[in-house]
Amino acid sequence: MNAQPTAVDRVLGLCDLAAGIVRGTVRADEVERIRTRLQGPLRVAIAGRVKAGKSTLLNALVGERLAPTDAGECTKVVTWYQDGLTYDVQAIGHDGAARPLVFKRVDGALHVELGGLDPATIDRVVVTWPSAALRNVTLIDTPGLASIDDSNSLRTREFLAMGEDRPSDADAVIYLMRHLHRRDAEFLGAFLDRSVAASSPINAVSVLSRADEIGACRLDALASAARIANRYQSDPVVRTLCTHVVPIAGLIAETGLTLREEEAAALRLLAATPHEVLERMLLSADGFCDGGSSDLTIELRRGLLDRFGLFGLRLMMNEIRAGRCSTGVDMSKRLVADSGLEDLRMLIAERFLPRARVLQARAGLGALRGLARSITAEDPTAGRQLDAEVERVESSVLDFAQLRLAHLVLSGIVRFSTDERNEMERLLAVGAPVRARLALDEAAGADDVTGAALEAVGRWRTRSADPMHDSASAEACETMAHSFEAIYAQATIA
Amino acid sequence: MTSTDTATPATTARAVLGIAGVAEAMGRGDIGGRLRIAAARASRPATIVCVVGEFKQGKSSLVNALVGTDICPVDDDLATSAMTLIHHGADVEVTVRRRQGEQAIAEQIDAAAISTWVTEAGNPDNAKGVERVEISLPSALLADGLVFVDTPGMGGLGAGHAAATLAFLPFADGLIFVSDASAELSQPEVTFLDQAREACPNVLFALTKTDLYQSWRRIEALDTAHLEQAGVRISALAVSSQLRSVAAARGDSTLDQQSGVPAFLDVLDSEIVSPAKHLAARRAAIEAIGALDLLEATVAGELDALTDPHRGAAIAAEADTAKQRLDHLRGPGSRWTITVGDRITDLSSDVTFRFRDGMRKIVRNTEEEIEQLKTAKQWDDLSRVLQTQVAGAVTEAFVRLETGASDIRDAVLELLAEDMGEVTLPSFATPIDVSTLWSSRPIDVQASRGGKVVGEALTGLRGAQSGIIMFGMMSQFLPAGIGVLLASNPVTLGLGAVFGGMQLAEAQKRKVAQRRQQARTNARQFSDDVQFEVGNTIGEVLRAIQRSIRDEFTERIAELHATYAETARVASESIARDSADRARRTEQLGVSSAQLAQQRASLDAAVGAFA
Repeated sequence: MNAQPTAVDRVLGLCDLAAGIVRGTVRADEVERIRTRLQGPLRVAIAGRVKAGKSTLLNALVGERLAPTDAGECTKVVTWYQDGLTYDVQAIGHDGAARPLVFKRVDGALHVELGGLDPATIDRVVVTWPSAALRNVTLIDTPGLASIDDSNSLRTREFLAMGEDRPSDADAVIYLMRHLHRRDAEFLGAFLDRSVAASSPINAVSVLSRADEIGACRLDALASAARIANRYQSDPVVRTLCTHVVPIAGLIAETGLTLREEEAAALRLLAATPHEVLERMLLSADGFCDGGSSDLTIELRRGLLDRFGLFGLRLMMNEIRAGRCSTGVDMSKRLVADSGLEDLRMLIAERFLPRARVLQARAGLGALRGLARSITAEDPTAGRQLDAEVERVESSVLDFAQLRLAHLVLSGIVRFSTDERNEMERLLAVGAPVRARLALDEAAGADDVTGAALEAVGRWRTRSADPMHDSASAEACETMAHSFEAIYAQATIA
Repeated sequence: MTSTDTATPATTARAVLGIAGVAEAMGRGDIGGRLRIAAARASRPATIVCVVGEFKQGKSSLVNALVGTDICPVDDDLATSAMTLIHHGADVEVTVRRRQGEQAIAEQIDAAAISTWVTEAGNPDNAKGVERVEISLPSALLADGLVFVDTPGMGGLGAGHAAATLAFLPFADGLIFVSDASAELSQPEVTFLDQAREACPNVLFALTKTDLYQSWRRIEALDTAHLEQAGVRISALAVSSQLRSVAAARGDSTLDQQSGVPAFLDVLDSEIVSPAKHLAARRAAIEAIGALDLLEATVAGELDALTDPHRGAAIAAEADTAKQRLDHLRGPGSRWTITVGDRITDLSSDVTFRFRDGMRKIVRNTEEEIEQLKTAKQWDDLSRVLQTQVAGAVTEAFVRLETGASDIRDAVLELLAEDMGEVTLPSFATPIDVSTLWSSRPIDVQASRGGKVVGEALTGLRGAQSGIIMFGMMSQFLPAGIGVLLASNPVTLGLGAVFGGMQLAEAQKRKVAQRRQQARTNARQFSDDVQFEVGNTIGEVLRAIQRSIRDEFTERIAELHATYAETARVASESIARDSADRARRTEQLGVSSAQLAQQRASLDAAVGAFA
């Protein structure tokens, strides 16, 4: 499979063809834009209701305190965080003009000043930040939905272009929610109203955020959060919106990754407080910051509470006193490990981005088709040639058909029996080995593989001819048959 | 009793009981019995406080913290899904009211098993048909008649809860709006609070989970500002149910104070419970004054007869005539009973007609909207609009019934005043004003006749005795109705996928047309089901209203009849007394009369104080 050109490669090939046709014309730029978008990092938007913890998660994913976080609602404009060679922050107006913004770092946190610019005139703020974490992915922070300040909410909706025709600026969406709210479902569902190029269960992942606050910040909060995420994931409504629900304690992930040695020292000092006093301090946030109960200054204690939350503090105190954590490195590891961040990262890298890449290629294909149409008006021969090539790539790349299949199945547009649906999900699982796709043992021989693939091809061919099917279901069956054919072909070549 | 300056519901109840004692001593057990009931109502008025808010904000925890138990199930994950009433009782008892097909079932369950009935986990999609759960608790807070209603949170995946909750609010005395300190209020929360306040203006805002967030003061300030911007002026009360329960377990009063719950209870008392108690006390005082009139008439009549035998004869004769006149009012063929029957029939057809008409309009609008639907979101919105409108129509019908009943009482009273007007009683020292006899009707009803019923009439409803009955009726069928809608609601069943997704032109169009047809059928079916249920309930309520009006007035007329009979008897008796006996009796009556006057003063004070 690796030997075959990917969908992105095929579309990049089309770009070469198109570039040859338009060389020296004003359209050359257009082709370049399509190419850059395909070769550049994926754009992942982080969306969710107000105070769902979007900025905190973004910081955790980057490992730096870039996005401002605060008790009140604080993300007011759509902000892009991208990799670059130098540190730079710019505001892009609705008119497309870029204005440099003043920024500084306080206590490791980035502060950007809008410098008197009205948020309403700003299309987006672009933060360029040299960071390995941003190399393959550009992260986009959005203002909260259902915000009191409705213009903030509106900005996010505009950005994600719900119900509009323009293609979304984001390739994929991480959706944060605290409990699955009707509005969350509504919001995710609204993506489905749009073409598959925007968002669909195939490129949306949901995050159960602020997991550390579940169940009154008890020490078993994260286990509880995992159970809740599991339940949501198996909810039929949720399954039509996204394939995965991951619990994340963004705050402790962020703090774990940016932990400073003096904070570790303060925690150790705190852990030395007499047991009864400490226990009382950890009962409530107010109690923790109460007067003379500890040697730490109140200011310092407030700082710790901001950084760790009550759960983080309870966890750390428990760990330190049990002798499991003593150095800042231990603490950092423990916090990150408990936060669920690694699971999310893995999910994004392995299951989520490969598909988003295919989506991106599909979007590029759409752009090239538009280009072919406008070229046809001036140079019919060249235009038709490009159009025919676009057509050929679209119909021959199995990835695109599978993408449609995934969308049809996961969003519930077509319905199959549970067994069949499971078979489809197995086949479509991104990055899964061939034997897993065929539900075979890892030890199964080459003959088993070809045999199983052939059997499936025949079965799905028959299914697709079922006169009871509507066109979408028939298409889904055909794609299944094609996919097994491809597996068979590859197995025999190998 | 120095009642002039310090009238409290307790002193009022005592005064009412005092009069009941006097009445019984005078051989008027009928009046005494009525006053004892009135006194009990004054000291324990049913005060309904609804706890509302988005789901997972800590509503059930707050209720637990307030009443000092852990009876309401609290879970990290699953929210309360059934309405739960918590009231006072000698023992902990839990009753589940549910419906199986057409049959309503009430069964007692083990307190430990509540969560299998009232949470989404134990009872997914309300498969058990639970309509509400009633919990009785030996809690001091509830001993005075306070009833908490823990509502399912709004915003969960199952829509329709907001509409259901709003429909109950007109019958609640107060509202506790709950939002936690993790985030500032969202737009949907502010919108809901604004709507809820229209139906029930006595609102407390509990900012919960303050133990978890050191920034709760910021959130509090932000929330207050958001509310002010929306024109809602209420301040947040910070509470931590968690601290309260730790404090209770350790018997730590400092911690208890820190939880904010004691302060919250104080405000709950001064803003909601006390006003409700005052209203009840005032109502009892007015009823007692009416009864006092009757007692004083007899005492004054006898005193007059004792001092002047000639007048005594006249009084006896007049009382006898009045008694005979009243006999005309007692039969089933009397003018007022016929009027009651007629007016109930009118009310029935009026309410039924308006309700059906309202439902017809709602269904017609919905059907028009269905033709226009393009996106899943619109569909989603539409089913919520339908639910809300239907709930509104139902509430309106019941408010109309309540105001109609009060109108009928007024009409009967007028009629009786006319009939009684012919009974002239020149010799009576204390003339009886008939209009004071029927004081148990809701006072200060500001109902405009017709017009916008919901809203204006509500003030009159609140605190009325029938409130609790209405509340029960509403909660009996409304969730069932909503349940019908939810069951037939295709919102979450892939309609979004039909409208959305990729361009499957022809197949899509056909599917959409099919779904539209299905949606129309569902909307109609829902409307039919609601009309059937509501129609039945309206009939039941009307029969109850008719019975209560008839019984009430029959009883009052009987009391009046007994009063005249008694007056005639004592007047004739006193003529026959010898002079020593007469003097002794006069002195006795003087004491009684002074006692009654004193009671009247304290009741007048109560009526003034609780106005």
